[in-house]
Amino acid sequence: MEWPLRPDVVFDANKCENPLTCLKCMLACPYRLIGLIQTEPPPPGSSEGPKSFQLISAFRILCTACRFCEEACPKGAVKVVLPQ
Amino acid sequence: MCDFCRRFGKGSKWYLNPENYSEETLKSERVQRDMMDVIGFEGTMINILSGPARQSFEEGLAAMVDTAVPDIRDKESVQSLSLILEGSHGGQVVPLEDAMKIVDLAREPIMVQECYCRKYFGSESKFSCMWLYPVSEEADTQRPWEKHRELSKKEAKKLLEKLDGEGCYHAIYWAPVPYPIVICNCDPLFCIGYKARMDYGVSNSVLKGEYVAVVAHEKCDGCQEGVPRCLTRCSFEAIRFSPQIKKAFADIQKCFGCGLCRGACHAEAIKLVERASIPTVMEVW
Repeated sequence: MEWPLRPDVVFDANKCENPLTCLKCMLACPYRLIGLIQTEPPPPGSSEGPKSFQLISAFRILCTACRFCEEACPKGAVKVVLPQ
Repeated sequence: MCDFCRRFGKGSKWYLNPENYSEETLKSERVQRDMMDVIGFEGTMINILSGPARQSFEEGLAAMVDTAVPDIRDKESVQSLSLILEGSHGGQVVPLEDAMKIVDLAREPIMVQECYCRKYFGSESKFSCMWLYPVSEEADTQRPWEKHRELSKKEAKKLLEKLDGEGCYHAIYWAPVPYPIVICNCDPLFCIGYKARMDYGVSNSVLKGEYVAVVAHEKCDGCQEGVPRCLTRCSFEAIRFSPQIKKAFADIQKCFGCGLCRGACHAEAIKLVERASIPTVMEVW
């Protein structure tokens, strides 16, 4: 088993359709461990920025499994999974 | 003297050697190396940072740390991540006065953009990423959709002073070392490099600076009433406070030499001294 045991934060992309317009989970995390990542970089020189994003979690060694992110999600798309 | 100063400093601090801002260094094989083999992104580090893939690169690197270092006791995996950063995009803390000198040395244009760490890990807009040539020039055509502002050297220094006063520590990032490409003005809650260093031990993600803070015992009055100001400014767990004698003191083993405690001290009790002048920390990076 890996050490230390880190909670995983899992996002259900079917339930979370457009994270960019919501970000409630990101702002609920006291450690700001939830990030947005572009799924498709726009072509160089494009006047419009990236359109599609997905949520990621990083630096989970700091995660206290407080579940504020879970509670903040209006769609039930965020789950904190404790290590087995 | 740090390893980079020995290798790239020509007798000075590596980032104060004018050669490291030159066309020759920029065109060197070291800087122009294709990063595909190392980090899986096509182009030189400068192409990646100037182009549309910058966001996936920076946030992706953050998301990768948990996978790359499943066990922080495993020094080998931490070390290999650190080595990748030396050859790609690691950084080092610099105090305000050195950040100012870097602005003087850098080729124009200088451009300020929103900090990606604050933006994509916190939805905060902060114009604190100060890009240097040639990213400053290329990003303008590669990512015209991104908000940015060109700064004169005078404006850049003024902004550095302002951010310093707000409590943002300065760090330069290379692409790869010894070519400085950006002056960051960071906040520990959001900074990707900070978390990789402080929580996972990846040293090259933010190396300690060339100085350490020393508190003059006789001058520190403990801020009498209220919170000691220096304590609120240290992002590196280096400033300590004795409730018994009501004085602050600095743990130089932990100090990154950012100088923010010095700026916050109303009694002028804190100064930065050269790391190289103190035997116990001269090789601590």
